[in-house]
Amino acid sequence: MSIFSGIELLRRALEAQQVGMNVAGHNVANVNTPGFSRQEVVHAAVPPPGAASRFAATLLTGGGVQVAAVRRARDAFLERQLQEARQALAEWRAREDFLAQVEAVFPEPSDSGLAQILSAFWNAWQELSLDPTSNGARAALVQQAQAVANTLHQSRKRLEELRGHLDAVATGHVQRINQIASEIASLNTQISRLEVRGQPALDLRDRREALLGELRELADVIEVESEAGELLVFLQGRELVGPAGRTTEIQITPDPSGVHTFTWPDGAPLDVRKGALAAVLRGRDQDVGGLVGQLDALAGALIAQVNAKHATGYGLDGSTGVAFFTGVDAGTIEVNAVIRADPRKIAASSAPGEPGNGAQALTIAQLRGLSEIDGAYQALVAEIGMRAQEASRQVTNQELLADQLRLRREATSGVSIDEEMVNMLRYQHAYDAAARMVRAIDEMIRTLLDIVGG
Amino acid sequence: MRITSSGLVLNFLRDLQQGLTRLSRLQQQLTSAKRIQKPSDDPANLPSVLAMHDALRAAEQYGRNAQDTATLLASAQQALMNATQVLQRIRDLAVQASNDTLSASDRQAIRAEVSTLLDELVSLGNAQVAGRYLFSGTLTNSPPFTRSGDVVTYGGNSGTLLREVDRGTVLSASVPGDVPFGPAFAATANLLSALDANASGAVRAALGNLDVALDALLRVQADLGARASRVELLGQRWSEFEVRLRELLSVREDADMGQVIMELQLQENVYRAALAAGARLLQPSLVDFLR
Repeated sequence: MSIFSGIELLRRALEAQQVGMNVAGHNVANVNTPGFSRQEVVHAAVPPPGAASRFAATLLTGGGVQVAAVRRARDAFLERQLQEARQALAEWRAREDFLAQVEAVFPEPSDSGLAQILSAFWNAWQELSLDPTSNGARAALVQQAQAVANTLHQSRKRLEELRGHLDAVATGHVQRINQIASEIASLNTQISRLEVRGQPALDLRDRREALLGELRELADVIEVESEAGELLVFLQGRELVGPAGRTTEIQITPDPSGVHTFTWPDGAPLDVRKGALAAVLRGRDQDVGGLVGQLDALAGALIAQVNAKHATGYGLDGSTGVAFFTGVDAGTIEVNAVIRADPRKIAASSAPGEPGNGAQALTIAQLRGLSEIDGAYQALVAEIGMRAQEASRQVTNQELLADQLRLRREATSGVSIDEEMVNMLRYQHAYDAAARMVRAIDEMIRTLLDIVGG
Repeated sequence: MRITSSGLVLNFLRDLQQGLTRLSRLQQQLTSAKRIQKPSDDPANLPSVLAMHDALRAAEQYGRNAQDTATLLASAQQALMNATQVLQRIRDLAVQASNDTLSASDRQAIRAEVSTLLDELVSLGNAQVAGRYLFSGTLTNSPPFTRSGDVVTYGGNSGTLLREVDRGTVLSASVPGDVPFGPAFAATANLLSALDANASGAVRAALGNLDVALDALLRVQADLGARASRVELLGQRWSEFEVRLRELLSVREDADMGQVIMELQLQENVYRAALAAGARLLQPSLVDFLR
């Protein structure tokens, strides 16, 4: 062992402490970076050269310190749990969001809701039965009936608009999924290139994890890391990100019905079960789509029931067989233009030529409370309310869960400024001490040189 | 568990959010005075709340129907009461005329008076309410009775004005004119021809018919009276029902303002405490103390 190896030892020490400082600085710089995992330097002592030999004659001392590794403080299982909690949260949030919008289409209980408007409609028939000859009562009935029709139009229109909005959101999600997939593929390439050289690409891996987390919020993907360090991502058995930078793009095609369909390139339909995209698609097709159907059925029943009774009655001008409503569903229902033009044709009477006869109007008024009309509407709104309430509850629960997991992740992988400040002091002191020792050895060398030189 | 500054921030923000959510909800209840503002506030009770609103609207309508019925019945009763008086007067004249000692000219004098009374009866039979004829059946726009000579013909029909005064309960608010008035007109015509024939025996026979006619009038009046009582009872019930229903609805729908205000103050304090605590904890770090 020579005196120069002492300097070599101290040079390694300076380097190692400097790495420590750099890592501390890196951590501090990234204290607010989402998804960042705190990095740690692992110092290891360098054993004396040839320490394996038991037969070395001279006393050998250690060779100083080296940086054994710089690693991320993270718990992979915890990360996975957190991502899945975020996925569930994103799914329920998406659901809560559109259900709140659906609720807004049916403002009940209130005076502007369909329930009260239908109430007033049935009352208008009662008023007509009190004085079938009154033009005022007839005009009021036409107005109230048109109010029913208009409310049905509006509700249906807003549901259709909501469906379009959900479709746009879903399309956005699919585009983002495709985008993330290609970003992950490009990161895969970068990471494997760096790591082939023996350097762990910690920050790129953090970035890739964050992208995977975002992807998982959108859809239920499964990932596998290959030996080359590539992250392969699958969605319901289909490959999204493959080896060697290969990606599969989900196709977005507009459908004649006004929404989009999402398929894999071979034409198979996209299958997602969890996450925000699944929630939005379910909302678009089942919830909102189903509601439009229910509303149409309700309107259809109203039209059919009222018209059936109206047709057998007689108007003031003797006309019979006249339809009160035209149209077939919530979008097309209208008060018959014939009646709007001449309310005397409203069939209040059960027999021709009897102006004081309001029996038919009474029969129609007695449709109040029918399970296919009033009952169906009450059930529809209650169902919406229950779904919205459940979604809210689930969001609260999932938020709680996600928050707890996030806290635990912070505990494991988060940066504590105080801690990094202390680390900084440690490495700084060690660096100072090593530098001081370099000076000491430098003086020793000079002493030697003075002896030899002149 | 290791706590980082980010961890502290996460906790703080989450607690603030929860506090604000609670405050927001209480504020909404305070401004609208309603506990239920949208379906998801109480979906289980919503169908019954909506049904109650409809029941309230219906009750208002049934009340109006009952009122209208009561008015019509009262008007009809009044007309029939007057008609009974007129017919009673005719009967008295008939009794007078049945006296064998009367001369033909006496009977002619009586005849003239009876004829005038017949006109009065016809006009009572053609009574109107708000432009509609009470006793025409359902032909309410044309007068039921027309007199030609001594014969009065009924031009109305046998229909009645129907009103729904309770769910499923439909009442007749009128009576076709020929039921109470028909016998009266027929008997009077009978009397008039008997007077013209100057036959006291025929007059006595006409008296019998007049008695039958008076009976008919009284029977109809009793029937209308019974209906009027029933309607009045129903009207009262509807008023009571409305009050009770409104109370029930209020319990379901309205916010308990006292409770909301108390809760609001409590949550406000909690929120302020959270803000203060967070502010204290988030500020200092080791950097402040290093050289």
